[in-house]
Amino acid sequence: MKSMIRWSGLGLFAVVVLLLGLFFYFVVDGMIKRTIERQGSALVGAQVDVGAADLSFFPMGLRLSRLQITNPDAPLRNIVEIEQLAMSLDPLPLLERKIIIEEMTATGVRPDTARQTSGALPEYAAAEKEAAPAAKKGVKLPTLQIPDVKDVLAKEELTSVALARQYQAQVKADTAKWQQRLAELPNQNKMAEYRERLSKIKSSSGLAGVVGGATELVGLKKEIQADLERLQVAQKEFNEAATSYKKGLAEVQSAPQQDIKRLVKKYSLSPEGLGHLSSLFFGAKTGGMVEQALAWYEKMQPLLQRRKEKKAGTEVVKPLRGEGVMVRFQEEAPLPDFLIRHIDVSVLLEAGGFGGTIKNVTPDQDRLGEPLSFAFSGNDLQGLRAITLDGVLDHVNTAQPRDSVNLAINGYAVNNMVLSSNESLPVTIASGLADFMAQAVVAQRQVNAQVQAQLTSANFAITPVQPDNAISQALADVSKAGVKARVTGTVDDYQVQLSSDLDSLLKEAAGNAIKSQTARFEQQLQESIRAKTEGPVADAADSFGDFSALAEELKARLQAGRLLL
Amino acid sequence: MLRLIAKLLKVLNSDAQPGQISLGFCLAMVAGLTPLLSLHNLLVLFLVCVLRANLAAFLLGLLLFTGIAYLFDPLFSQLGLALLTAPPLHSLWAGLYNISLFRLENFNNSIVMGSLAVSLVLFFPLYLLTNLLIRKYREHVLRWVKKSRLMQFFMASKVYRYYQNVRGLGGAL
Repeated sequence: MKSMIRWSGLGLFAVVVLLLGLFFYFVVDGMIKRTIERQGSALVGAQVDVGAADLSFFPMGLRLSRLQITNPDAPLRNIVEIEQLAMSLDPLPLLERKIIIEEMTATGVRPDTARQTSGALPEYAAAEKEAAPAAKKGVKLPTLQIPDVKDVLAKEELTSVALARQYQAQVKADTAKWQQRLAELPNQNKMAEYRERLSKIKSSSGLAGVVGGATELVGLKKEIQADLERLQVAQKEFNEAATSYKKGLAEVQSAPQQDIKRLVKKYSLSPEGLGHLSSLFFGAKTGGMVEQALAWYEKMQPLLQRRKEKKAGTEVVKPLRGEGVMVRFQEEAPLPDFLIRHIDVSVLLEAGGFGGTIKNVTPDQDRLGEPLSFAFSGNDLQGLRAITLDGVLDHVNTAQPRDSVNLAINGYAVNNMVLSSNESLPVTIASGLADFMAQAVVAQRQVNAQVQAQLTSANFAITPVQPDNAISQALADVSKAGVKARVTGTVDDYQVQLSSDLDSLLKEAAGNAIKSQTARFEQQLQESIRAKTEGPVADAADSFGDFSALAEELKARLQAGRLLL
Repeated sequence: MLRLIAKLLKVLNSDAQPGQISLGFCLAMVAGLTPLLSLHNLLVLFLVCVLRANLAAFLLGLLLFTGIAYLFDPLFSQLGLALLTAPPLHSLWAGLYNISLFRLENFNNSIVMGSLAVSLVLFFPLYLLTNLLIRKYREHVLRWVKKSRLMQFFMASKVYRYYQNVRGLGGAL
């Protein structure tokens, strides 16, 4: 037995363990720093920097200083910068490879700070570029200013003029055609010839003359009858053409009025057109906010619930780091692998301080049996009377997760907020006070959110100033407005419905201004169009007169023919 | 590396007991095939230090088996998962899972379980086989090897000079 044991080896083992312990003690801070940076960057999709990490053993805790999380959409800015993050660790669960942080304090939290270097990570930037949606098309606004009549008539083709000219040309061509046809039909000379021949037959004497005359008379009458039939057919066709041209002339004469109606409708603004203007003002902003909120919600998912699968009754979990898979068994006192029970956060905004708590941060809520909850509030901030933000992200039942968030902002001073940068209607809220309330629930990826905003003491501005703009005039009278938005659908495919009392306010306020502008425009348009169409319409009427004159000639020939029989 | 090979040659050709060399090699298999930073490897280190296991054989074996482990990790993971999810073993694993020491051992990781199971199963067969091979080597091969052209060439090489230096120092290992 003595030969089997190397007692000096005990000393060697102690030295090796001591050296390993010392090595761990000196490198552990760096390891923690790098692990947080690597895991954080993978989670956010942009660089996460830790100034320093300091692990203490008695009592067990970790202190991180200057934690910077880059905004993946703006790599030269941080989403948030935390001056110091101190946490106390429960040492016993560490033996079970569980990180349980009882208390965490985040001090000097500053959102949206500038970075000295870009925090973009090429591998994530490339993936985002591939997934980037196509650029949104600009919203086309209706014409909001009634233009000058001369400009309108310079670029618009009047259908009435074109119609009159087309009518005139057609009637002229048809008149020529009928004149040619009339020349081919039996005329007054022919009738006179028949009359002469009839007189000769009637004046014949003697038995032979009478018998011969009777035969000749029958033949002549047949000739006259045939010519009369030709004339009757021609008269029928002519009458049909004349009726059609008469109807056409009526259309030509009413065409200028149709032109006036069309142009008034096209260039003037109807109050109904303002019915959805608030969607143009608030739609893009609301849509952008919803898109951003849901993108962050998706990024948070690994923190709320990890992927698990059941295999032979046990739970198989992909570890956050390392290789292989972890198989979990029933615990006597179940604890999550990672848990922060309580975080105190103190946010430093330009407007002042804003603080709150976050409870139960863990990707294993089903094991903890409690959801993540948070509550923040701030009062008497600069330009903001009060703000509260609270919510519950409940993934305790992993099959039916339900997350809800409530946000209320009171007395937010709005200054120069751009509502629309559209060239034809650049609207800003120069000043005003806003109250804002939002409630959002995402249950099993179904979104149901309601947002309400109430604006008071508002001062809308259209810059540059457009004095003839009806909306500009209407907005000048608006001092308060409410906006409601509803988001429904799934996280991947959602719809935003907007409504605002601004629509009805604009409609009402702009109604009178629009009416008077439209009446003035119609009057001017009528005069100008009448002047332009007078000539062509008169010419068209004249051409119809020429055409109608042919009817008299046909009538006279028929009458002469009938007298012969 | 050369120093290590020289040491191994020295050990093989010395009067060291084959059991010490085999033990060092087999303990190296356990430490090499399983993830290095596992709790059981502290026990392996303790055994290497306290038992008269040959350190040169252990270190060389550790290099060899760590390389092999990279190739076999997917198989170890499959085997480990099969063991951990086998219904007859469920109560055993569930019992161990509630003991902090075993949780720290990370036995419920599929690679740890698979590689540890393989190395423990192979431990005694490899021990016996290595013992046998060392004995056979010393009985039949050592004299022939020493006389072979290759060995002559080797004895003139840098590796052999290392071997001589080590021997000259009279290393107790």
